[in-house]
Amino acid sequence: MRSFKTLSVVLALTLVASTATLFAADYKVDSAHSFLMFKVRHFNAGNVYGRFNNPTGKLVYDASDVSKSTFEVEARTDALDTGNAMRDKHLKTPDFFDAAQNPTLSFKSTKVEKGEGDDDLKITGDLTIHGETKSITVDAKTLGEAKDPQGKTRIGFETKFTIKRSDYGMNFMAGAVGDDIELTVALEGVKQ
Amino acid sequence: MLTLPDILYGGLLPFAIALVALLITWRPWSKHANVPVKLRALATIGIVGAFVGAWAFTPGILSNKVKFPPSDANQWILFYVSVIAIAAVVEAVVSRMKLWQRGILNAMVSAELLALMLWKPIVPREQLAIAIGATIVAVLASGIASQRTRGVAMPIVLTLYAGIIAVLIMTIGSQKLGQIAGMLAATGMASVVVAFWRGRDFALSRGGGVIALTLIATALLFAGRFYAELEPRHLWMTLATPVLALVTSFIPIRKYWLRTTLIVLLSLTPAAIAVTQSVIRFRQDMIDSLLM
Repeated sequence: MRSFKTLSVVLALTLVASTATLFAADYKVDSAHSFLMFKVRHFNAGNVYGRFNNPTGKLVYDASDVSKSTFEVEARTDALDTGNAMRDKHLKTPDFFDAAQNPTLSFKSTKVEKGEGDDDLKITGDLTIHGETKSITVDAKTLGEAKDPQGKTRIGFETKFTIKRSDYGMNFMAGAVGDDIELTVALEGVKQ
Repeated sequence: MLTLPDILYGGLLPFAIALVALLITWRPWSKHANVPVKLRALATIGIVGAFVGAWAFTPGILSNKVKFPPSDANQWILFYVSVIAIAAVVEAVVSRMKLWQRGILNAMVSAELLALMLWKPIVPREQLAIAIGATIVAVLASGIASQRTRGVAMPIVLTLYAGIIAVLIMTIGSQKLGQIAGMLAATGMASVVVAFWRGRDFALSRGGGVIALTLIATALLFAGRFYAELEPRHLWMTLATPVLALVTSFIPIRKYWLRTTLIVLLSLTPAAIAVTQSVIRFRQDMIDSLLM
């Protein structure tokens, strides 16, 4: 009787532990399937699009309690790509991103909350660009979860938000290049 | 792309401030008036003050927020000029300082300021040491050349040195650093005007004017190398200017204008070749990128 009780407790604890592990999972950002893109106004006439290639990072996601989730994403400043070599070179100089002194830009979440919809999240965190760190809150969406042909579990998130580059010390060529930068971050994580 | 405010505040303003300081110091209308050594520090303070003034009034070029420690390579320059002004006053006030002692003072100021500007871990130590050593050589060479060559030669050489650096850096992608060098060239132009007016007894050598122009220009050149994409060969071709000025100051020609012309031409030839190559490549890149 006593051994049955002990066994029951052990089984119950195992069940709880495995359940917790199932929901709070670690994911590594898949650089090849994640995108960090931006859009900025040019002479108030057109838009220039660009991206930072090969973002990296780690995600911890708990669907049952999103407050336990964390998002950490980083990209190399010299991985900037606007489709034009001269413009890329200019953007990496001290005129804009100053890639030599600020080799990375990053986001590290400090709070994650449920949004209005089932798939919605409200993520607060520290965004660091050009050596300046600001706390921002963004609305994100959980895109889905699935297994790939290798049997690995993948999960996707996406968010779109706007920042002012002058808030991050980049105010060169104001007027010619807009202050508002629209960022689109699409992340795909592979469960570890 | 330069706007009218950029030209006014980044060009005319520093020129005007430096010109006033140099006119007060040298009084070129009284050609035989002796300028006390201590007063020559005013010329240097005028040069650095002009530079700071252009900085403060040119929001379109530079970031208005200056914090310590500076976050950007170009923001260190603002602190440079303060130290250079102090060094100029020290050099002038300590009137018994011998040439080699002044050389040591200039070398120390150069080394410390350049190290501060490039202290970030992105610059390998060996390259930082080379940059500091080369800057010390440039500053000392300019100083000795200015001692040996009175009149308009060295003001022209140093102003064009800064101007060439401005164009060179702009063609490699950093308009901001290039415009700062342009502000320095505008400041140096004031010394050219006064040197022409005053004539053969004009000299920037005592009081720190030479160190101000040479050090800031050379620091910007190295900033172009470490923070933008200045090619090493173009850096060394341009950096040869002060050294060539020293070498050519030994030309045994006494005729003032012939000597001046030879010093200017021979000192600046490698730099002129470097900037010409860079401009040609920049134009070709622009065409290739369909930006023109």
